[in-house]
Amino acid sequence: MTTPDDDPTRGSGSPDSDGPRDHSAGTTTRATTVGLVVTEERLADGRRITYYGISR
Amino acid sequence: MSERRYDPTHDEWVTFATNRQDRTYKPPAAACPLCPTRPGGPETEIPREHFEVAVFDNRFPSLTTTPPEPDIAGTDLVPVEPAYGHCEVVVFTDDHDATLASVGTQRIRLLVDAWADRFAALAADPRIAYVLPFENKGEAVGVTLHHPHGQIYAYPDVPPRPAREQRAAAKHRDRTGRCVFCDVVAQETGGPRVVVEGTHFLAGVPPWARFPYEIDIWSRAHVGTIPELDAAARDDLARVLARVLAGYDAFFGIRTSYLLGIHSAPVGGSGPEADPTLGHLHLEICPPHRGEGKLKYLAGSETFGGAFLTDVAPEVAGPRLRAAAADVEVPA
Repeated sequence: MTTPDDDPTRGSGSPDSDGPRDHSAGTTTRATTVGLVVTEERLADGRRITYYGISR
Repeated sequence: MSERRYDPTHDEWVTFATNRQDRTYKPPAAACPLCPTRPGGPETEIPREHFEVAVFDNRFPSLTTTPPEPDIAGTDLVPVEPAYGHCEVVVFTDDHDATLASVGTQRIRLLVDAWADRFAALAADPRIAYVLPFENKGEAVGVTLHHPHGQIYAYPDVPPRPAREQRAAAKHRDRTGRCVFCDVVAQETGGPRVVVEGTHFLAGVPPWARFPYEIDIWSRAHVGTIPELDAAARDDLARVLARVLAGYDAFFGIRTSYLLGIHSAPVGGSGPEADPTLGHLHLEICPPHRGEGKLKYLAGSETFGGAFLTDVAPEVAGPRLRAAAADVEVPA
């Protein structure tokens, strides 16, 4: 069974978040058509952290 | 210990997470674990120097995707199971001294997108039945970290209060053929208890308010979850929520403490409690304040009877809060 925690490069898929992704250096960045930028990383202890920002 | 035990006398599960006894407790601002990690400063939970909204797995979770085996064996009467689920921390800003009321409408709009994104991700876990974003704000409600933040819990079943809502919605639909929340929106729109009227959302003191200055924010449309909201509805939710929170601070003249929860359609489970068509997206905001320097506590009737007693009539609270929200300057 695959859960959201199993795949660190998983896209978490809101309706407007399917833009291009950058998988370099363990970081996944999703740029969206409405200016939302979602960047997924891993903390040193393996926990997931996701940053949300507005592209300017 | 991280396990759930079933209470057969109340037909509900109780979670035990004894690891949380060791969680960070009211640290000084200089040692805040939710501040960004700044050059020369202490390493915090968030390795970046600047951020807008950050969401990460709780270091001291009540529910986890890798729970240990329970400490005790369950019985037929009291089953015990590992406490599976997700607990995430949602940090609204890198400014330690800000509040959700002060960060501005644009940041709340970004937060709505973050809620939607995380909701969709957690709902995709087939073992999850209910996703609950919430914010505990202020010492009056027991907050242990003052940096502005909320949380998201994802449960393996529908928790008792949303389950009760689902049963009430089913009963109303069986009787009328309609959604109970849609009927509430129709009744309350334009009425004396309204606080903020948005195009997609309506904020008001519910006629049955359990807290003297409770405000619920209902989706006008029969929408079950935040990910289902389009951009215009998300814009409106941000505007309404920003004005409600700024209005609270203006009315009470303090940084208002409150509990804020987002009720959504279930995403799993079984039976009528899990019927996603019954769910109607709404926020409940419950400040413990009942007047200047006075707090409402959950006492005997509320705790043992489950029967709330409220000191202020919603028809009095509504106009007071509406006037405060109308006059307040809301940060952009």
